Amino acid sequence: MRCEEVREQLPAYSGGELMEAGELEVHLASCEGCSSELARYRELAYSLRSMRDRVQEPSATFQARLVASIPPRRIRDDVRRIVREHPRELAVGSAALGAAAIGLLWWRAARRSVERERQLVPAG
Amino acid sequence: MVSPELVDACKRGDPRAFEELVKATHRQAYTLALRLVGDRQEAEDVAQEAYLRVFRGLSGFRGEARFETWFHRIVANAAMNHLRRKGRFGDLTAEPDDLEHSMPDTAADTERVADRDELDRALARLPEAARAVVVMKDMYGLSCREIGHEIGISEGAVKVRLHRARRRLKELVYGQEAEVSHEV
Repeated sequence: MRCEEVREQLPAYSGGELMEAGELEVHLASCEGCSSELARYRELAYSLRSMRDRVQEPSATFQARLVASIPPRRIRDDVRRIVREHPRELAVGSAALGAAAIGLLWWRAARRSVERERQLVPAG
Repeated sequence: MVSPELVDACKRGDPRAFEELVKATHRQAYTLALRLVGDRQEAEDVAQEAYLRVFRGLSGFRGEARFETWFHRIVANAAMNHLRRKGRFGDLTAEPDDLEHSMPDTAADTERVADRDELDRALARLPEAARAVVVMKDMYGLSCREIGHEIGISEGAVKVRLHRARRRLKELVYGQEAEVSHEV
């Protein structure tokens, strides 16, 4: 491989994105210039990674502005969260509630029917 | 680092937890936004937009990845949308006008680790599209696929941009390489 071809591929090679690197590595083993170029890319990569935790300071009011922009808590959001987090419990609870409601309606209807029959039957 | 307990408290809608989350993360959010958009005021606006998305979408965060990873993607996405809206997300292949003048006169000592102030300045001189891929991949560790998703281009296109951006950044920091003709 020629140096020009190798250097074309060094940005990808330094980042581990090159799939086939056999010939390139053979060249690097014997070419001081290209090895130096690779070292520069690796230094850059190392420095970039180390800069991640180097934070910049925003304006003095930034944090307060963010806190003030937090949307107020809404009941609708709480309901959605409960539905999302506890679907099984909600299904069981709904079924139980439905069964209880049906049972109550049936019991009331039966009771009214008994009362009507009592009113129709003359005493004695 | 943001604890899972703090995230859970935020999910439950605890306003104190939200304040705690902001306190713990606002500098990182601002710094990432600044590195992507390159302007302090715009970076604050982008970070604020990202926090609103976090508050709305936190219930969808399942904790499979670290909170910071998820959060960085949201900030990056807000920054990309901002650059797109401003029409500044240009083609990486377009040469910036001042690139020739931005080159150092001589190559620096290759043995040293790149000075971080110098690197910050070099990053700021990259076109937005070039800076975005380098910052997201080489600084924050997003995958090429994730970056492609945020920018709206293919993984292969991200790699092409990334490699050009690395070369340009290396030239800005160390100077242009000399002509070579060695063959092995």
